Amino acid sequence: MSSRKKVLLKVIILGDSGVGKTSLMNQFVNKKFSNQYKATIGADFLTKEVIVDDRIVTMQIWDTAGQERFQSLGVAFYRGADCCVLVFDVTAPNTFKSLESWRDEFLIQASPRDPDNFPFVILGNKVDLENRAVSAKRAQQWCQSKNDIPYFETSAKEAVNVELAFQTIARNALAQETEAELYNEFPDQIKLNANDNGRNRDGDNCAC
Amino acid sequence: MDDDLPTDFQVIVVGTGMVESIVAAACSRIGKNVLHLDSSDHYGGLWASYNFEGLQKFIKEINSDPNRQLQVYNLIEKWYIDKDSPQEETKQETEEEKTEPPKKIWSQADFASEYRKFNIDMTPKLLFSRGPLVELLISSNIARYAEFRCVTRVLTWLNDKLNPVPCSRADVFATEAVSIVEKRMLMKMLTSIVGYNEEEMDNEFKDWTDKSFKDYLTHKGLTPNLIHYVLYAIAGGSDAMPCLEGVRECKKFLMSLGRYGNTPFLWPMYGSGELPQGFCRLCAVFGGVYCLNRPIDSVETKTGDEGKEIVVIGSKSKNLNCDHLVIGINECPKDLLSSEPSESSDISKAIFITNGTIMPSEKEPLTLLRFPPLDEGDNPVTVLEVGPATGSCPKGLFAVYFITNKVKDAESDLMKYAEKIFDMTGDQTKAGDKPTCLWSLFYNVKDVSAGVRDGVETVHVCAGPDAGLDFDRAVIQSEQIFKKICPGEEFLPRAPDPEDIVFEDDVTHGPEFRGDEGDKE
Repeated sequence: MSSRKKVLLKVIILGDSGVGKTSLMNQFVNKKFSNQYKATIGADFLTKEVIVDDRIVTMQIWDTAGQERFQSLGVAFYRGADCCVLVFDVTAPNTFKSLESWRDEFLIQASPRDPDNFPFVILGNKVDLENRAVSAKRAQQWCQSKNDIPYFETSAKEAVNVELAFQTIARNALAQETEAELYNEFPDQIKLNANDNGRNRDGDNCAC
Repeated sequence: MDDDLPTDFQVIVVGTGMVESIVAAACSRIGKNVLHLDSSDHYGGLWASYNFEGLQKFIKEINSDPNRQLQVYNLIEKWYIDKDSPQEETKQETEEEKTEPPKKIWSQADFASEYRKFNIDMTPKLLFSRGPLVELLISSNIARYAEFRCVTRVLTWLNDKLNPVPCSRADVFATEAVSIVEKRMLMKMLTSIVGYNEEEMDNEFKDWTDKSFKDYLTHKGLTPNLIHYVLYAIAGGSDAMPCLEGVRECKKFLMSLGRYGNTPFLWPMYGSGELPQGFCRLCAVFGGVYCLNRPIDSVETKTGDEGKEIVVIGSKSKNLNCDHLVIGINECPKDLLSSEPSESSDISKAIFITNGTIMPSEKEPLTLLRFPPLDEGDNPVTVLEVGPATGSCPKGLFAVYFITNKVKDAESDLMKYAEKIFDMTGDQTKAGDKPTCLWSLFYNVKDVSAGVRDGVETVHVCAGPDAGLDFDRAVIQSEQIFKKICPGEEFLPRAPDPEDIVFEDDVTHGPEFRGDEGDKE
């Protein structure tokens, strides 16, 4: 038996509608790109195993399911996030300006233990397009001003930097998770599934 | 920005309470085009969980404008502790030195600074491990959006003190509270109740249909202590509880034992308010459009071009059209409700924040306590105590919920029960056996299942929270509303796992199961 327990990282992707959140996830996990999903339909969360420093880590990447469109993400979405990925569209300056409020919203809703050191990663997506409107320098400056958030320029369509960005996300989330484990005093939550045993630690309790 | 909101939908749902959210998910799941609105900035309506700041806002809103939220009244908030804690600096230093720090003295300021660690339920409820909501969460695959904890013990108030109720076979044998003869009696009784199905019940209990459960238990020769356990704690009843109802309640309790833990009950992590959000997420994943902070001004029905009735909702000077409107009672314009007096039984509720558990145990407990009525004319009182492990409150505190059917008002109905198990003086330095109550909130809730005005068949009003311990009524009502809107359709069939969803270039709506030829990458 492995001395290290299996690691599951919850990563959430935030950003304005249409910046390519679903496409980035889908490119990373399924190596596919589609021009078709304008608004998010059917995207829930995707899981992928990655290797970080010889450790197998399962990334569970949560999409907004379109609930961000009218600022209607509920607090439940943010629970237990190990890393937050903020995405903007390099051809749409408004989506860059929104990063600040998405970051604030995350910190308020998720209320991480150590907000100053919580791992964020910023992705400037759609660098394959011609009509770029936010320069790399401007984005980098903003990231530096926010406690040096790592910044990547990506194209979900042409798979530019997607792998690299998610590797960094996994690494930073893992560092956060390792620290969180030390504080996790109450580890035995129950996930419901069709098998009756859930996490029944107390053995046979059936009266019937 | 709101101007982007599309205007035509098959189903519009107003309010994000439990019933509304389940119906929204069910309609979206089978392909209906759904818009889901709420007038406030958070999910859950009267079923919401609040952090401490959100709760203060809620209290302030109701007190300043009682007409805004007619379902909730008699709201009384009380502090039992000081605004600020004195000499905090020096206290911190000594804490570092000692191996066992002295008990923290809480102030109102501490509540404010840790407000995010509270998730206080307006409608605290438990799930039976084999009850309809657990089964629905599993069969629909919505369970993946929530986590739970087991209730670790069931207590009752007997002989003027708290007593653990033996509920599993192991408990019954381990307990010292009942004699060996009583153990046999209890096991026989419980086993026979589990064994009955409805038809056999008709036979066994045919002479008992108009008699009380207590009479039946007495007739079976149970000792007074055992009658207390079975009637008040397991069946959650009172002396007048009809026999068949008692048997049904006991059976429900017993059938849910042994699935997840030592008691039949589960509590949702971060509170009951997480559950509507799980259903909303499924609705969104299947294309439902979400818009909070969107009050509605009017609801009208009119006949469309082809004689089809449509519902027109006025909201922020925009008309939203749908075939069916599903609306929470707390969001519903009064002129839409039928004027006939509806059945209404109100609920008295209270929330207490305390500095310790009502009965210490090795691991952090999660407790269901059932009080029998203490005085003539009272109703039985249900108490739920949840601690930091559930995400309900900061370390060192417990949130305790009291629920009963209203007799007078929440405070007079419940204060005397609270005084039995809490120290209400606010003195945190005493080392008494009762935890100190630091803060409390009393309120009454209307339990109304109102009908819609005659002749309106495309508007469906969802009831607010009921006084029951579980979510069964909400699940049943949701399914009924869904069947009216979508006759013949399956209610929340299993949603595919994320890895089974294919994204094809030409797919424009709805995820599909991966076919045999699917790319296995």
